[in-house]
Amino acid sequence: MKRLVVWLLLVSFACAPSGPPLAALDPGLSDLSIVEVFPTTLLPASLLLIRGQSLPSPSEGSMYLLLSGTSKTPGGLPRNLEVRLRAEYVSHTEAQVRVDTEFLQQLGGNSIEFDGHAKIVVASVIDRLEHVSEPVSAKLQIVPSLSPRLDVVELQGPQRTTGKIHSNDWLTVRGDGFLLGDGEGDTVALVSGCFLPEGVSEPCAQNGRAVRELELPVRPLSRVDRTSAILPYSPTIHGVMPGTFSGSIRLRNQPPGSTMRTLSSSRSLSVAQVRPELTGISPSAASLGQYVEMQGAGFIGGLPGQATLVRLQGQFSLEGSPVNIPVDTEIVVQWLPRFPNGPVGRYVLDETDALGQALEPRGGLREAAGVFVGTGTMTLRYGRESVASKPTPLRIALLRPKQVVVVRFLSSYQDSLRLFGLRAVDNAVRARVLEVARRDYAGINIEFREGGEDSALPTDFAHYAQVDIGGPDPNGLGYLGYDNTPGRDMQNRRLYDRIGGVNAVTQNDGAPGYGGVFAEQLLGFSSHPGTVTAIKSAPGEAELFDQVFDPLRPDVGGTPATVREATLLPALSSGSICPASHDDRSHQVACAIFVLGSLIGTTMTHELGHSLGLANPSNPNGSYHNQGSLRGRIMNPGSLRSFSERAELSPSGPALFCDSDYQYLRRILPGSQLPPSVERQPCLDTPTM
Amino acid sequence: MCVRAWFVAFGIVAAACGPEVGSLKLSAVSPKSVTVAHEVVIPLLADTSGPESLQWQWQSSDRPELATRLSRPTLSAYSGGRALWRFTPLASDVGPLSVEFSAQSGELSGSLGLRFVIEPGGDPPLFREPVGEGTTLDLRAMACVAVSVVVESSSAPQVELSLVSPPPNAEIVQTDELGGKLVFCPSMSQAAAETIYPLLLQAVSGPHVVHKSYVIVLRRSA
Repeated sequence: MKRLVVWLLLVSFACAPSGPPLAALDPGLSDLSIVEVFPTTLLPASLLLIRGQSLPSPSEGSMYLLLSGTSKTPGGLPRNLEVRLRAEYVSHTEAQVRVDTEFLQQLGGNSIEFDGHAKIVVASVIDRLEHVSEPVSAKLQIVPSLSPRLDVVELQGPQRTTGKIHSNDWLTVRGDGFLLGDGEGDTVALVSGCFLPEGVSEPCAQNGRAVRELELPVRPLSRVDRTSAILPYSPTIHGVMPGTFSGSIRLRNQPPGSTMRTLSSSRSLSVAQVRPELTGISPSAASLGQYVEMQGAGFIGGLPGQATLVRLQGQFSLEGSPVNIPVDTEIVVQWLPRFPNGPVGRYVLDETDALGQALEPRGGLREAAGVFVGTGTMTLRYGRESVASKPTPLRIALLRPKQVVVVRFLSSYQDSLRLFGLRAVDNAVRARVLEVARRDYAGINIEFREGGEDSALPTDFAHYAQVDIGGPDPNGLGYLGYDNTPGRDMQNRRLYDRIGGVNAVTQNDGAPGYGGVFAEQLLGFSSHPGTVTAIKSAPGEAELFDQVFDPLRPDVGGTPATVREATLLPALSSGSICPASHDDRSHQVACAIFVLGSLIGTTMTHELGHSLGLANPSNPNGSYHNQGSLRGRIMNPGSLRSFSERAELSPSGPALFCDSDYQYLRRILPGSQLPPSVERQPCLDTPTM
Repeated sequence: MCVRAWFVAFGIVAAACGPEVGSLKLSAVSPKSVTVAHEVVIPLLADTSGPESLQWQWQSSDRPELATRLSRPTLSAYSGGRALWRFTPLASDVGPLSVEFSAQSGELSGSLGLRFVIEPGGDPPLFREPVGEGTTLDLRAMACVAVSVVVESSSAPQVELSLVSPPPNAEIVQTDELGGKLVFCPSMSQAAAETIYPLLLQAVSGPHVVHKSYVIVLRRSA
């Protein structure tokens, strides 16, 4: 019995393979460097920012700032010091250190001048060793407090010379000693004076509106600059009506948790507030869920009692129709405090608002493409005040819906590329994936954009879809890809589907919850798939897969592709030369890129097809896949999609959307591009039940 | 063959369970959070300077099948007594997980246990409709505005929709798990008193509470 227990323990243990001499563990810190530390003047509770390269995330190691040099108190003698301060990870290029009690104690107090060098020290959790960057010179001054000094108050742009200002136009203040927020406190502006509305006679003190120390937040121009800041000429000063303001402005520093306030001297401020202006829109053609920016000045909003409206008056001519629809509607515009090219007003084409509803009888923003020609008049509402711009001629084209798709390549996908020996040529694989996607959806109004886990999301569209390209199938089902968006999105009502992550609604319906394209599972096509679920395939297919990837797969003795190879390789536009002969290394790598990119790409276009409502789009109860046994159709079930077809190694060419699936896509997302001239197979859709 | 296997088995067990024979000090960096579909990497270090090669092993006593299933963790040994344990949890792995690591180098052995919880992941809910900042209600044409509200939720199949401190005559009527209608029918006195009604839509899903600002501006006869 005892022997049995021991034996069971043995088999239940999983062992690291033994064999040839072990390689050193790479903690990924070979490019560790520090570029600079800033700001140079610090207060208690300030953030000292570190700019560098290859800074490790908390899961990769602990990071310290090592300062070595001399520190000196005012009037004191310099003393040598070396201090090590815990740094907090912000990104791979930025870290920060809080100037806390420990910081001050180590540096020698809250009134210190430091002159020396800074290094980054990383205690790696990967290899458990310390890694130290090269030093950079650093001069820091620590002061107990800062008093603001105000030298100049300026208007921005053309207003600088005219003295005319709109609501929320930017004012620039220049001086020194400004607080930067982030714990050290804030600098605010105090505005005092008198406002005399247009048409009201002097004296202001008698007929105007007094403004007494109205507090406005001041925004540093950068996180390191204590000498320049901006503030909006807010409607809270005296409202939105035209008139003249004469008064002064001064700055106040407000450290947190302290009643101590320090004030600058005041500077005069005399301006004439004018009506808002609407000068145009950008872009001049847009579709549902797309942002349209209003050009002009005077936009307000974001606080109770404030709103910016644009009244559209004119005619809307429907595309392909002689009908002209009279338009008189108002839309709500968002104030965006953008600097320096702002502020601006932003509007998003929304089915639910007044404009979207006005077009509803004509099919709404999905069907009613056309052109509005007329005028736009901007109105500011501030409490009971209302002021309008002059009408501006406007021409806006409303376009049929466009589907923006962000293809997010996740870190788990990159991890999986290692298994194929293709980690170093990641960018080439991605390029092939996107090439496949654009080709499959040619003639359809879809725009594919590349993204990653940390990359910025679109700012020109509020509605966009996401497809995650990941590693293993988190559902544990060995799927190559899975559309985890809920239900069948007939007519693509949701322009914001996310194929990826987890979806609780889908999971609640009893379906797998995690979606995306699962690159690692593609190894299942191999005859030696390792820890990946094997995929049943026709004779010869697994051997074909292995001929392509074995020369690069490290687990079978292959040599992974290198970055240098990636830069020298021509991208293949077809797989006709694949698999390459065993002595043609460059084509072996090129073929592996082409094949893996095609496999991921064709899986992605299939899953995206599901989220757009395919297959059988006219039948809510129809199959999610094409009917019959015809091969070469993108929405075929997996059992009809062979490795060679997915990899585009088949002489019959890439799979296509079948006839009625493609017609449906053209109907819901009609592109301006002509459909490619190809022969499409019949879908054999089931009739509507 | 059986006898040889038995000796190997005994050696491994002794290494894992018999620190009194001679111990190796193992250390590991425990993961801060572990989420489905996100790879967790646990670096391991054995304090050894001996010339003998180091043999790493792992097991999970509460989920022994983890070592033998497909999509299983991997353990890679490196020089200097280092190793990395990598694992991408599946949806079915959600919950607590114990992993025991052991290492043997000649006569020396050591073991170490880690326990962590695998979370399902998921994001806070997101307002999908209305997508804009607000709308206008032309009181000359209609008395009420009704705006479709749609929320996307990855972490829970339903959310609770409401308005925060709504003005009189404004409400969200929830029509399904993730949607509803925002309805505002201002009274004559409301229309006379104010033309801008800022609303704050709220969606609650488990621990997540998200808001969306939306303004309704009244148009009325001059």
